Amino acid sequence: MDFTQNLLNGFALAFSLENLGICFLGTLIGTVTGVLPGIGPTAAMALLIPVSFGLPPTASLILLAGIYYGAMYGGSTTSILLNIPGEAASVVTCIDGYQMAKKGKAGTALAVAAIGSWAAGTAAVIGVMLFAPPLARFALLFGPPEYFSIALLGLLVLSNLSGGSFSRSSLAMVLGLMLSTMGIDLMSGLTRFTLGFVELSDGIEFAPVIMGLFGLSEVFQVITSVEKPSEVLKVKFRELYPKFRELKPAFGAMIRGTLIGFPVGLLPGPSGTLSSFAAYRLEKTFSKKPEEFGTGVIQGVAGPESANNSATTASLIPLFALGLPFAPPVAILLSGLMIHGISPGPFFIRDHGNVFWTVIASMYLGNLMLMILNLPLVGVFASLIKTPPRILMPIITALMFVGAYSINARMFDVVILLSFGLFGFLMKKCGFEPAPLIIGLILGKIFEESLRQGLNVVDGNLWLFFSRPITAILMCLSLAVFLWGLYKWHAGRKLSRNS
Amino acid sequence: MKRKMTAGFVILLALTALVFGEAFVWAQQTVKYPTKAVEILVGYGAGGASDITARILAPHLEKILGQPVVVVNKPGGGGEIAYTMLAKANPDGYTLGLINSPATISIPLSRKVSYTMNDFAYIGNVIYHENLIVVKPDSKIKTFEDFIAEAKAKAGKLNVGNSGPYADDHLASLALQHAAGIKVKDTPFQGTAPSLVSLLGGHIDAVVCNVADIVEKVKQEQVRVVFTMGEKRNELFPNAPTMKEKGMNVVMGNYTTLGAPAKTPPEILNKLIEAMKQAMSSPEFIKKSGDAKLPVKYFSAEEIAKIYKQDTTALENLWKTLNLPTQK
Repeated sequence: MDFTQNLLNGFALAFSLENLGICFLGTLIGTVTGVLPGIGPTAAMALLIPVSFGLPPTASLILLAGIYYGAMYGGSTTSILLNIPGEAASVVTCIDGYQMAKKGKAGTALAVAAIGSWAAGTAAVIGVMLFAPPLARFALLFGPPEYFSIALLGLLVLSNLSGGSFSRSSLAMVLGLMLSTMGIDLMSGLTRFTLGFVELSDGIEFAPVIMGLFGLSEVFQVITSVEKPSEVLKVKFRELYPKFRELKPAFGAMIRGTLIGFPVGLLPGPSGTLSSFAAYRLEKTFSKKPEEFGTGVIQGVAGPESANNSATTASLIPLFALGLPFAPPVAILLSGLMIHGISPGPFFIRDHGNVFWTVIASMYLGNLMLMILNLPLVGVFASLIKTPPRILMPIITALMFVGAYSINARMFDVVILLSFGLFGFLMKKCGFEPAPLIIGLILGKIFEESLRQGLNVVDGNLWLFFSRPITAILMCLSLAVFLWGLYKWHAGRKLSRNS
Repeated sequence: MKRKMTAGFVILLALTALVFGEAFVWAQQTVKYPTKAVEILVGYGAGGASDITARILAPHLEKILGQPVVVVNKPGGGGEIAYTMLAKANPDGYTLGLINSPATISIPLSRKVSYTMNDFAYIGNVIYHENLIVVKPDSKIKTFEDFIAEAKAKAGKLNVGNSGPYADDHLASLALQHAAGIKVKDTPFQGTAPSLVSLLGGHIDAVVCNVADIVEKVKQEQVRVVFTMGEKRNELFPNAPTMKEKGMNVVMGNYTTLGAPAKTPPEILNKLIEAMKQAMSSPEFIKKSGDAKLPVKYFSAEEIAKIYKQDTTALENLWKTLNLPTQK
């Protein structure tokens, strides 16, 4: 009974005019940062830290958390409409979402992203509310060797995500891994592969690379395409809104996305991004027609968009139960709390129950607000694709330039954006997909870091990784995936030789 | 042609007037400062300890100086970007920045950078907290002697997590090993939080970090302090001895200081030093920084200059005796 009482108390406090307003403001800012390419939730939350000084602790946590999960709603919008991921967690949405938009189904894609985000977000809040302490203890079982085996499995499973040639996607992934080695070496503290640029000493910035490979290369593609560039889809405004019949196949994907996103959220690092890739892979595996993925399949949007929301919310668990942030935006949430003299940890729910329950209640409300905010906008956003490219392309190019510059306020990242735009364009011309490169880049840091830390933990003997049960299972899985891939590749070659 | 020459003459005249006017002002020593916004460069991202320090300090300086004080985050290279910007900034008092020991001192020791410690003038120290060793509450390492014994028993395999390679905490661990004649396995993480995650999960044996990283974790009984590397015992952990008590001259800690480019005119610098003293003694600042659990410790410009000089010598020696990696 205590539990219901606490939650109802939380709702009562969350429904105060101030907290409702703050919650709306947070989710709105979150949506906008999600939509705008470049600036991500971490930067937006950091910018608002000084504002939260003046707010009561609960309100400031509601505001910052709203931005965090709100960004996952907005991120898909530009992925679907323009092939520009609003933030890294929506990269995979580009693959099928943009194809859907090209077929005039932008409205359906946007609606399914919003509904999936809401369902997953709400389900994950229930998970946080009920199971935060035991799940946090579970998360602690994972040390560097376990992270390494997860990263290895991730690389193997996700490398050939968008289908196509195995060797090409592996090549792109390895390139991503190589790019991830730029910056300060984890063990010696010395800089490596920075080409003498101090800007590269913290590694290459993700967002300009992603925007370049997806968005800018698409702009180049449109400019150089032989088809008439002024060709615009003729869609009636009403047709932009989805029909229930079209949404139906997405519900299973939403549930699967939520389920896979939640545990991924308990891992350190860019869990939102990883969860969306994992969900896409899962959908493709479960689908009866995996070959259709990449041509605008609704499950390819529903799964990942649900997963990243679920993961985002789940990543709050280590913060609430241990006081330890597993991801950069959560670290900002922590400083937002610390400023007010609140330190989350094992006694957080006991000592600051009011804060915890009000924030939980506000997250239910915030997710609802976000869906209500996003669904009517579907038509407005979707009508963007009716804009002729000669007007739209310069605008989005300018947006990306501003976005890239705004991350660290330096021109260097704009140069990165341009270089990778050109590179992405050439990649596509040669039949390479950009997604595996992004996987390599994102997983590369965790891969290397956890391998080297893990080797330290097990005294430099890689075989000792197998003495830890979780690692042993994951490593065997990786081996199986690798052998299966090898077998299929071999079988495929035999087949093509015989025919 | 003639018109052009006239124009040129007028410009020359104006410039001369400007230069002499400026000199005249200098001679009179009536510098009007500040007349516009003052920037504080922070070498780390928003939301981090340095950033919060600067943001809590800024409004109090603003009140005294009568001009906006703006915090500008320039993360990159472990602070190197911001330190270089501060060193090369126009010494007019409008660009200030946070300097850290040991980070600002150790970066030039490990790699080639385009600033030296002589490029900075100090305004006043804001933060100081010493390094310490923490373990899980149920660890069998209870005392300083236990730690040394365990390190010797495990023969270099006692795993000690730190916040980054050759950053402050790692350097503290190296100094400790050197003084105690032991060898442990230093495992670097990206910041203190992930190293504590590994400690709580039992994947490593101990973590070396600073006071503010774990004050709350100690209260929540998630970690236990074994010993500190402070000058004297920290009142927050009265049971944790210092290394000095144990007869080892290892004093390691982390300073955060407000600084300016070295060539800043003394009258501007003095004004800032005064403002800083006033800001840090204001009850509001004390309350705000207390709420945020910042380990505030004021040192005057001269005091901190002396400390930084000692630290520089100590770190240079550490680099030389232990042959730490350099890239020059």
